[in-house]
Amino acid sequence: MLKSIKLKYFITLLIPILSFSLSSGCVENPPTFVDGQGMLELVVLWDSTYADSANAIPVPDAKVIISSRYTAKVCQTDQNGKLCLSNLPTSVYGYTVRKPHPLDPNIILVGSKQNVEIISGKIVYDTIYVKPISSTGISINEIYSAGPVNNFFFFFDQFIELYNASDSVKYLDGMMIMRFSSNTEGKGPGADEDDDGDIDGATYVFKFPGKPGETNFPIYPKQFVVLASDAVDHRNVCPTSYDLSKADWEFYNQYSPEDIDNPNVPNLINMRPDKTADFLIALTSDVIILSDGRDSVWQDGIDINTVVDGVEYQSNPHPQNKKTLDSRIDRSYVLSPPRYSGKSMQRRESGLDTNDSLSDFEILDRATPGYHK
Amino acid sequence: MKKIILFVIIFLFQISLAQNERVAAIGNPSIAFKDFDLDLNLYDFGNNYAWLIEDHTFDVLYIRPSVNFQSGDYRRFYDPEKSSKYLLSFDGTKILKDGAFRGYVIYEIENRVNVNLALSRYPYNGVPFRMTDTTTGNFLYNGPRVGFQYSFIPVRDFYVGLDLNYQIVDGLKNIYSRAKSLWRNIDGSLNLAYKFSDDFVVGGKLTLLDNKESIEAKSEDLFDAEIFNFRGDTYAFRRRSQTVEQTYREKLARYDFATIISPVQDVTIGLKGNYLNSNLKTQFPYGTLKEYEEGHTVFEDYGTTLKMHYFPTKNLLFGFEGSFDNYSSWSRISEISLMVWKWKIQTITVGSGASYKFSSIPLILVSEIKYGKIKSDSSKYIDNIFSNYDEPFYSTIFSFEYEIFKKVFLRAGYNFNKFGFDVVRGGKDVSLSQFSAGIGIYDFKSIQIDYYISYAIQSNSFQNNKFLNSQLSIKIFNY
Repeated sequence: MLKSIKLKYFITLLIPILSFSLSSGCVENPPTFVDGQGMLELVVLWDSTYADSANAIPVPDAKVIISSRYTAKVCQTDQNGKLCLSNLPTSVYGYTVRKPHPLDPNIILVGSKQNVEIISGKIVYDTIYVKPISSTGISINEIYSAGPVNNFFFFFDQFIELYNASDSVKYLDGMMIMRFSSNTEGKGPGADEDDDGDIDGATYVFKFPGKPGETNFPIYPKQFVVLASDAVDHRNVCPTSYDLSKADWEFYNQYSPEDIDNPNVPNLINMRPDKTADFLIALTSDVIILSDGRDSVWQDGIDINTVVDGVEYQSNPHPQNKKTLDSRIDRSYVLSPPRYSGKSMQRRESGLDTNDSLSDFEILDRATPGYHK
Repeated sequence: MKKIILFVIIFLFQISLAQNERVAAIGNPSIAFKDFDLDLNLYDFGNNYAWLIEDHTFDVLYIRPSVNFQSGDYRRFYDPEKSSKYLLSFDGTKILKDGAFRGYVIYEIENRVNVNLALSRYPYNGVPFRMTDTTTGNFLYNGPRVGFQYSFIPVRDFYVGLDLNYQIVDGLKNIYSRAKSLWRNIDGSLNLAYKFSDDFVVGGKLTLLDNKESIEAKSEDLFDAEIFNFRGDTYAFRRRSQTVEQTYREKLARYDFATIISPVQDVTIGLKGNYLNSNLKTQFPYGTLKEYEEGHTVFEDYGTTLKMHYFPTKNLLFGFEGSFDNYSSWSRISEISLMVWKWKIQTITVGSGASYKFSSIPLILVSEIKYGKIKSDSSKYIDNIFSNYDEPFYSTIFSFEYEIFKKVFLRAGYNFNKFGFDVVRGGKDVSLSQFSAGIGIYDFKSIQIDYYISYAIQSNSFQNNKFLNSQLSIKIFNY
């Protein structure tokens, strides 16, 4: 009797276990297609006549930066201006081509393309036309946002560096430096929310003294200008930090009762009375805009045609982080260094802005305020 | 995870953790040596726990501390430079009124020194989705393992066995990215056996396993944790945040069959077969999804082993063993459903041996030889790396046990192995020499003490590894 009860219990236990096992043990079929079989055949051409692309000539030995979510790879075109890459994993790629002008070292031949989908098993044929770009104006040359190596949340040594890449004197009068980090409900910070030709989401708006068109604050050809959050020697607080006491300009919030003001350094002043904090930017992801100041009504967005330069930086590659800054200002974003690493984002060539931050910028182990490494 | 453990045991059985000090001291013979743990029965040969009640017929408690050291430069990219492992186990069997019960508790501490980049506990488990950081640091793993087996006979000649095991291991990297690993394993099996006669028994077993490793890289200082998710050996994408998490989750089902036949007196034949399939998901939080499936890996294994014992005389045992095993796996990127890796390993092994117990002197001599072939085929599509090997291997064992004093046994063994291609570490012409020795002191009323130590050198033409294992056992009867 006891044995038959035990057997009954046992069979009751066995049936669900076997059912579960059989259902979970079904072997899945492997995928039909494999990864790593994508191919790219790229031809780089340059229309040296500026007249007709039929006269385009191949660009040999050009540096091609191929980037995807799997990091960037630097390649070179052959003597026929061709680059053939095989065994590429499936991903969305972007490529940028750069080559110094054969006659004028101040001009760089640049071409780029983003969002090219390369699928395993298929060949993508593409042609890039490079255009000569000379650095002709003021641009954001370096952004140091990460903060120095420390363990007490110190990041007050942030700075933005401008550079005049042209051969003529430019003037900073009335120009505005902005941080775009709101508008999170819409397309995101720095996006043209209503497709009305302006970018939205300005949270900090600081400006140089004067009005656009005035000529009181020159920036000379090939000059670097450092805009410090606080123009002091931060090494006194954090030994791994930087000396910004000789910065050219300092962000000073006149509505803040406690913002540091170095009397020896001229100030950029706050245009938003509702913001009482110092000008600080996010450590690893933000949008920085330099505009000429003609549109100072930040509430309804800043007109894109007044933007001199803009850079977006993010901590993770697409698609983990969403790009938000309007592509007319910056087609990609810089992959920023880790927070509290002391590292900085700097343009590869001083002031050279192709509106493609991913390939325009590189990461430096140490920031270089006032000079280019 | 279980799969790779099985895999390592097959190819590195000489240096694996010994559960039986007597067998380990004489070099781990497996074909022609008679021991309490090496009987040709359903429990020892077929791992069928329904037969526990027949194999374990007395109350006994084992207390086992052991240490294992490994170092050397014959290692893979993500391997540690050296490691040390310390275990303490309590393993007791109790004979009950209507069954037999065996339970164990093991606590293990493992220190891996200079682990290169890898954050998962088993970076070489056949899965291409690896999580790495940017530093070389030490990992300290520790945690308990508990389990039990229970066997009973509900109706005459029909045996039922159950077992359940649980292990949790906590790992911590000592430097940035300060990764924490929580490795958890639950497995259990249902075992059935039927005794047609004293000379013919059959058994079947169903094992289910659920394994999960959760890794969290969270820098304790203010740095972001910067993590690279590899898809294969070449391509990785970056994830950076103050906390970066990843999970490996494996579910496995395994079916075993075993039979023991004694067709004539003094001959016992064992035949067993198994089939296993499992799937392992690599997951991490992504957007609003808590567990976004990054990769999916499927394992499918099967194998069979035939073993025979023949006693031409009372003191002489001849053994024969032949086995075939097939291990295969493929992995895909779940989002785009493209295959990343596919590999297959097949092994065929034949072996024989003999042990002789002298009548005139208290000496047992053991010798075994195995020969086999390992065929491996690996296609790392995403890396564009393809390899194909078909190489032989062989192993030999020479060992003895001598009773130097009454109930005091001295044991020693030497085994040598040569692999044309080492599928575990990827080297060619790899040899493994192991020296082992031990002592057994049985001159107490209800306690037996066993101890063994082994030293092994594994080398190819220009690199080598060294292994030192040692274990003490205190066996208490009628506790």
